[in-house]
Amino acid sequence: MSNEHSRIVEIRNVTAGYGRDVVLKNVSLDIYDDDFIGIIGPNGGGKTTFLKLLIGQVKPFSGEVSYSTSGKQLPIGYLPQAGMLDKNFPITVMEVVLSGLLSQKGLTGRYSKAQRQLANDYLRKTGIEALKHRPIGELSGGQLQRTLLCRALISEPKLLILDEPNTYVDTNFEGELYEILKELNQRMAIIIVSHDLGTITSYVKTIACINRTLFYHKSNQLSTELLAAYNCPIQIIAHGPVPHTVLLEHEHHADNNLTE
Amino acid sequence: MVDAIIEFFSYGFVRNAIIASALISILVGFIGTYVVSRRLVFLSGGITHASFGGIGIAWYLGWNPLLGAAIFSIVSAVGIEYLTGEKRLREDSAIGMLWALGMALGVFFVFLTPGYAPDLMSYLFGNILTISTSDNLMLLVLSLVTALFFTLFYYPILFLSFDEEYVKTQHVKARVINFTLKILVALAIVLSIRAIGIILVISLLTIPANIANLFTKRFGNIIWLSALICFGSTILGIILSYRLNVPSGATIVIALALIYLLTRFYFHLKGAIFRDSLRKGL
Repeated sequence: MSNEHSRIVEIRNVTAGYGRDVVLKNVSLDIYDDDFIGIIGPNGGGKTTFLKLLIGQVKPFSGEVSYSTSGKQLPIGYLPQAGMLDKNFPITVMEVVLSGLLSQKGLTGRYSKAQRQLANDYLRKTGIEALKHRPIGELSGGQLQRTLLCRALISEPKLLILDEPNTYVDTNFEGELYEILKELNQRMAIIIVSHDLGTITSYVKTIACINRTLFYHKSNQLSTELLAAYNCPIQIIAHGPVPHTVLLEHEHHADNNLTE
Repeated sequence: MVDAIIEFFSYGFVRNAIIASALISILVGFIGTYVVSRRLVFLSGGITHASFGGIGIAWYLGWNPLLGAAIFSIVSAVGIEYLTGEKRLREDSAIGMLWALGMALGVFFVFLTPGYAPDLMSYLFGNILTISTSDNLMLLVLSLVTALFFTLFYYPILFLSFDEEYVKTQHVKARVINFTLKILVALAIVLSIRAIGIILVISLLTIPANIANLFTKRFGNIIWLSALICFGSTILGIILSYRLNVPSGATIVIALALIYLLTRFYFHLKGAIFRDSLRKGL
């Protein structure tokens, strides 16, 4: 890694899980402020647990997660899986976006005019300003993801974490989303979990495979052999005529973190 | 008829019942909206029935039954969260077990108590016409505290109910608010037992908020609208139960259910007429 970029998160030999169940073992990873990491891996392999570890919702059994932000909390933008949310919940688009500013506003009191204006700006940028007073139950999958993206971005995070943002959306939004992320990556580190290997590899800079532990691949090019070497049971799907960067023959990199 | 109604409202116990209706409606507005939108209805049912164990034990020890109910409901509300927090136990199973255990302990201790057995029916089905001034004082304090808490922490409560995981990433004291909300739910249930009874409390927590939700999709609006609906139907229930000489609790629940069905029917008709006019317009 080059020296001009600073490390924002350091994960050292972390073992974590729920109750007595160990989900992740010996995970080590450094996250730098310009990273764009795609996370792949089988269902139940611990991808979501890893994200929860990053946002502090799961505490490590052993090992350490430290944030290099000199005493202050690292501002993290988090976009959860939309399927986990209650679509019938009585809340409007505007309110969802404003919830991203909760720590700035504090527990009591109202949102200021400037904060509402800021929310409005983000809604305009993502093209859903007209929907701001709609309850979320009336939104399409893509509109809901845009709302959640606004909520994740409004606090100007240094690290943006997205958990499968491309489910429940039309392909139109998906392409747009990756372009938005590419632009955001100029300002913040991004970690994205995705099932769609073909698309993800053409946008991310590096790839981490999570299957009980984490294998870090400091490139966005994957091969079947590599996945096998990482014990990562994922199939590479080539998408017809769409240009993609998945290579079948690829030199084996031994520079992942586990070999340290 | 008019004379009968005027005479009816001149009784002290009727005035107490009306004050209780107003205070319970305030509680129902806040707590019911929270319980319904966060889908805690089954949990609330469990807390309600578990509190009967407290009533029985308090009766056996010669304490105030409401105190026993309050302790049991708070312990079970917090206990369910503890038991299910680390995934040691499925939440609905934990609720089911506490639900039955509470009722069993209640019956067990009431029957162990020598001498006069309390009127079990009044705890199970309640009677708003027997509410005393001291009951109303407790309801007043709780509804003031609840209103103040919801006004101060409106946004964190709304956001926690919608997406707790996300709020926890915001470095705010989510646990304290969650904990206080659970206690407020438990206490609101306990103080409503006298009026409507253990078996029927759940109706006040669910039906008014669901009727209000047919009119509005905003959390804040559901709060005040469900409070109004609750007040209207409790008054209606009190009058009807007096006129027909039937239990007030059951009458209130039936009134609420009828209002819910009529409102649904109204929106169904309105939708049909709207679609019809669209078709004719085309």
